[in-house]
Amino acid sequence: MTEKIKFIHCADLHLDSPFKGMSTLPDSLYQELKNSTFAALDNLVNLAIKEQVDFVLIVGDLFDQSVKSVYAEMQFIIACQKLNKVNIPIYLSYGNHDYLEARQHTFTYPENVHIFESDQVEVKVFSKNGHPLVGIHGFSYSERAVLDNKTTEFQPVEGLAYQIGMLHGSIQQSTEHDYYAPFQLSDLQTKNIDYWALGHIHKRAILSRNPAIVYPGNTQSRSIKESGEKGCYLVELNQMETKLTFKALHAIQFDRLSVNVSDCQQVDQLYDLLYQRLSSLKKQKSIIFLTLTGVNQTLVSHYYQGEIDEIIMLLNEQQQDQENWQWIQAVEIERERQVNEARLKENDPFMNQLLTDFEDINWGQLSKDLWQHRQAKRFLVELSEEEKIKLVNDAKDLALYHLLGMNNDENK
Amino acid sequence: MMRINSLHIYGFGKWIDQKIDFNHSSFITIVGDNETGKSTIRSFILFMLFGLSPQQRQHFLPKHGGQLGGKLSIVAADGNDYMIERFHDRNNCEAICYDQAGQRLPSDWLTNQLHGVDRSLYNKIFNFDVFSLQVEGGLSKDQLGQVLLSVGMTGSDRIYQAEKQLQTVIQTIFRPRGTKPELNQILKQLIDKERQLKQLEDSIAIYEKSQKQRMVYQNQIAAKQEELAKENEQFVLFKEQERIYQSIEDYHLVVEQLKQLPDTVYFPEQGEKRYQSLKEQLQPLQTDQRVAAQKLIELKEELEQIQAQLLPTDIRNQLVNRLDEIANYQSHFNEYQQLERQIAEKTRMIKEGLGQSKLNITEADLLDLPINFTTKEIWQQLADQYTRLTEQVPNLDQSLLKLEKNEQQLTTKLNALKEKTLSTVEKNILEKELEQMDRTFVDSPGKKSNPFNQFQKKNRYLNFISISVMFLSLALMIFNRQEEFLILPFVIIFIVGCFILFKPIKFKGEMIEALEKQAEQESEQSIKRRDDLIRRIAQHDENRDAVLLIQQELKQINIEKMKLTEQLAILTMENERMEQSIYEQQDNFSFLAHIPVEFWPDLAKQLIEVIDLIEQRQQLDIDRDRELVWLNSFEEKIRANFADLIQESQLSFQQVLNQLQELSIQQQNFFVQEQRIQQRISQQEGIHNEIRAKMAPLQEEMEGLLEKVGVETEEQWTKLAQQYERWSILKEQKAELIRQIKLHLPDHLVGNILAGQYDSLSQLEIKIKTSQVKMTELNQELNSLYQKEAEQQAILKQQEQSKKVLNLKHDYYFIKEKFNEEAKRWLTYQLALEQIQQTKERFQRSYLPFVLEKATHYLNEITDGRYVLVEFDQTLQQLYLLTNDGDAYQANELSQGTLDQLFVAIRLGISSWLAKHIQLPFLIDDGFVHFDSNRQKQIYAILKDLKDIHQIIYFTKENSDFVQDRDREDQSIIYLS
Repeated sequence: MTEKIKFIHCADLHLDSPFKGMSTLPDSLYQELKNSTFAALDNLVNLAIKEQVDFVLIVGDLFDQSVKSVYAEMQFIIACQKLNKVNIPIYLSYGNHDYLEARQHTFTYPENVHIFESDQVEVKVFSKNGHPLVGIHGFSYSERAVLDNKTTEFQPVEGLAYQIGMLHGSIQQSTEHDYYAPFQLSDLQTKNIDYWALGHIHKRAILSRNPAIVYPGNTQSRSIKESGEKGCYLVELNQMETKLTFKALHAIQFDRLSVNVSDCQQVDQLYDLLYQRLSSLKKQKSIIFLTLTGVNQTLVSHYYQGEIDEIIMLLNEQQQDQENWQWIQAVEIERERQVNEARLKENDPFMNQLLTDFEDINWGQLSKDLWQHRQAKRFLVELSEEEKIKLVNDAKDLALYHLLGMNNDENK
Repeated sequence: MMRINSLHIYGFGKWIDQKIDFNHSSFITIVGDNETGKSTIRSFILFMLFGLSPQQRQHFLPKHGGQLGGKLSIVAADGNDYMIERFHDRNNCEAICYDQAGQRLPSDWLTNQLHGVDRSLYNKIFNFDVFSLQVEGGLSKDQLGQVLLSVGMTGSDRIYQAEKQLQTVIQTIFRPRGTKPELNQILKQLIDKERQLKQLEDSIAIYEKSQKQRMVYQNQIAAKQEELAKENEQFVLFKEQERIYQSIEDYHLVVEQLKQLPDTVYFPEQGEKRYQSLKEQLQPLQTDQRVAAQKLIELKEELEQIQAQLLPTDIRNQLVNRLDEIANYQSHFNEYQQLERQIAEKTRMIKEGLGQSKLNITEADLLDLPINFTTKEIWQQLADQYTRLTEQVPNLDQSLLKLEKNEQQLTTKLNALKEKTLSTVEKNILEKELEQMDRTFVDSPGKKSNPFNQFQKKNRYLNFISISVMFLSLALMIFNRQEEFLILPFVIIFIVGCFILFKPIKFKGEMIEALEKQAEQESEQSIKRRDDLIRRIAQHDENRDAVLLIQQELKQINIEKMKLTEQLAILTMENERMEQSIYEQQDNFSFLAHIPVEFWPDLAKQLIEVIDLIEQRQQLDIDRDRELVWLNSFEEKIRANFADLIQESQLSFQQVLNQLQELSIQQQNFFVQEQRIQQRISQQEGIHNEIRAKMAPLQEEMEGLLEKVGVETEEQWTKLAQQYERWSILKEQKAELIRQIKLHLPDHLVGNILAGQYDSLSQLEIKIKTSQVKMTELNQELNSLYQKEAEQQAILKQQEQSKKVLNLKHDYYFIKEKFNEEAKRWLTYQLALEQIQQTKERFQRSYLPFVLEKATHYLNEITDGRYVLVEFDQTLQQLYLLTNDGDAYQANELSQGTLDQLFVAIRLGISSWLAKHIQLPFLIDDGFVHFDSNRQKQIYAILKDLKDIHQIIYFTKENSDFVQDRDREDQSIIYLS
């Protein structure tokens, strides 16, 4: 009977990648956050050792190429050395974020690290107990983009019990914008490969069970867009089945939290509610993006007066010294915009005009002071449509708050 | 349209519990003179709709006490009835609204109903009096625009406030040329971080560079190390050559020396060593052998000397045997001398004994005397007897004389008493006389008993003495049983005692009887005569008692005399027998005649002792004579046997014996010496032989060695051995030197050196110095390279461990992110502001014409066609009016009345425009009081038309035109008093 194999499939470690959307964080938590990708790497090593896996697959984007750091390289080498001590090989391919790694040979990796250095698909054979057992296929990016469908290059090797394909890329959406080794699911399914170890997409997904085509996601979230648990797949492969177990590796989790506050008339009630909701969450280091729904006019008023921010600050202060802290990074309020706007338009000619005018914005003119600023412009990112919509909504809310938000009653 | 139906004032200013019903009317005129409370009602309605600040409420607290508050019943835009209630001290004075069913409505219900219109806006449009008709501050386009903007929920203030606040925030976020605003500061940080990051962004390249540099250093180090190693090797070789230079020189010297010797020299292996070893082994043996031979000679000489002095064995044996008897002789001799001394002693003692006896008899006489043990006893008995008799006879004689003397005295005394004593007749007469005399008297018992008692007393004394004498005699008898001759006197004494004892007993009866008689006689004396008689009788009795007593004593003395006489007789007889015996003894031993008997026992003892001594001496003499005989015999034998050996014949035998004894001892010693020497000779011979046996194989081997190398003498052998040794040493030295050279130097160098091609010492020294200098240089270079390499290593390590890049990267992106976030915030504010401003402009631009058109319409109506147009002068930015004459008037050219009319027209125009959105009641407090009648009518007509859109609540005085027109439909008039 063919021996079964057990391995870890991970990708997109982005070891020294910067975090996004993190504009406020106390220093201690910020330090932890900065270290989180390395902590995830440690977790990966510990898991491999604990599970006594046969090997570890790292499918691209181990590093972030934006600014290379020797420290990150060294941390990875140290991790490899730990695995080398327990004879766990690492099969590594580079992706769109660390393609330069394939070219440089500055660092010497331990002998257990097997790198797919070529941009052509290669095969490396994993032997167990002296017998060749697994053919591991893979390639590395030599440029930021790989436009070709690489699946054709994956050719199973005869005489090996298992075939594994390491592919850092994404499913082909359209011919114009597919820069990352585009493939069709059917391309993979038709190959005689037992396990497709994919990378590049940070959201984990099992595209297919037979054969297993798996995105493990990244190991550590870097922004709220990558919310939820992050980690790798522990894969147990035998001739009959493929057992996939997700293992969380993240050091800090990013989460969205939506709280209906329609029952809260005052900020103290809101504080109690938020406190309860946070307490009911799983105790782990997490960065939370909070959305308040069903917000009444009073709370909106408090929101714009900064009182809700004060509550959040208070809640955060309590968390700061906790081991498993939960830090509310941002808070948003969600209102029934459509209803409000319709009524406003109906009742108030000025509002009618104002809201109508929001539909026609000259972004260039509007933003030129900053976006065309000699020094600032290079740091500013062009706004996406999504961001523009959000910005318009925020601006509307802001204008409306300033125009209407205050209580008309004279009693105050 | 929102319409007020009724008011219920719980308490407000002067009003307490006042209900006012508007009867669903759209045009209400509230009529009252000054101070009737019109303005208070207007304030109450405003309070109910918009509330009042706590300070303002203070003005309206009921004057006569009670709760500030009230209720407003309204019909809302939806046509339904609602209730608005407010209390000064309840629900924070906020409006509490109820629907028709009395259900409480949400808190923002009223705000929604008012469409955001606040008191300010309301005042500007719907609430006016004669003093507030004018728009404050002129009539610029902006001012008018403000008025227009005020129309709506927003209100111009809000817009301006919003603009201002947004502008403020925008200014705090970012200013294109500012430094303090947040974004400017973040930008500064970002630029700084970017700059830092740029410096570090090639960290990998720098690391690579460092690594390469390190490798360069490592390579250089390796090269230098190699060079140094080579140099060191060279240096070591030079040093080694220098160190073993002596060996090299020695080697060549040895080679030269070897050349002078045959190539090979045959010599047994270890020959000299073996030879020398044998020799060394032999030498002590030879010495031992010599010593042993010498010893043997000496021993033999010694033996001869001894043997020369040694007597023939038989003589020696004889001497020994005889001398063995000398001890015996000495014993005999000592015994002899002892006997001599004893004899002399005995003789002395005999002489002394004889001398002490003073008998002048010789020993022979003594021995002839028939003295034996019986003699001694007899003499002793005689002496004892003699002594006793000699003592007892005088004593008895003396006692006898004493008794006789006593007897004489007593007899004399008796006679004298007898003469004084009455005769029995005389006495009887006297006694009879007395008895007669006493018959009359009773006899006194005392008189009778008295003499009797005395007698008894005396008798007891006597008895006591007698018993004592008896016991004494008895005791003496018992204790002197051995001396029988003493018993007799004691027996006599005893008998006498017994007699004395029993005699009074017998006498007693008699005495008692006599006494009784005497008493009877005495009692018979007469009293007169009685005394005389008693005296005479008493005298007589006394005498008579004395006579009796003396007689008694005399009797006793006689008895004793008899006893003594008897004893004397016995003793005399005994004495005679004794004297007889003495004579007999004196007969036998004539010398006793001169010797008192009492000395005889001692004499006998002395004589017997002397006789014993004599006998003992005689025995000693016999023994001595026997010893003497033996001694003489021995002496003769000795003298005869060893006459030759006795050097001087005059010598005493003892000296002879001593001489012989010495000779014997000497001979004995010689003999022992001879034996010992012979034994030693035998031993020495054994040793000698043994040594020789040991020497033999050694000598043989030595000879064998000599034979092997073909020499005969040791000299030759030694010479050959020396040659061989020299050759061997040189060979060994050569080999050792080669070994040393090879050990320390490489082969190629060794070959050259052995071949004689090598550097001299001075050359080597130069080379060493040169090499040292070079090595020092190399070491310095190496150290420098090590240092550099270490530094590079440290840099690499630091780079590997440094989180600086990582942190900077994170920080950069963090700040960049923050910058973008803030930029978006700025853009949000910017957008909000921009849109408000833009809308404001558009709003003004879009709706002003409509309002001016309406205002033209109303002004035209109010002025009855006088003014035909209200318009803005774009150049002057001022309102102007156009009369039906075609004249144009700037606002500042108009009369106050016309201005008031213009503003009423504008208000109405605005309200018409606003009515599209909201229809609120007008509160007008005699607003048109200064209008002329015609124009008032025109206004009234306009308001009447307007009431279908806006409820009109008009406050006026009694005489107002509005009151006079009473028949108006849908109007109600309320009078205040």
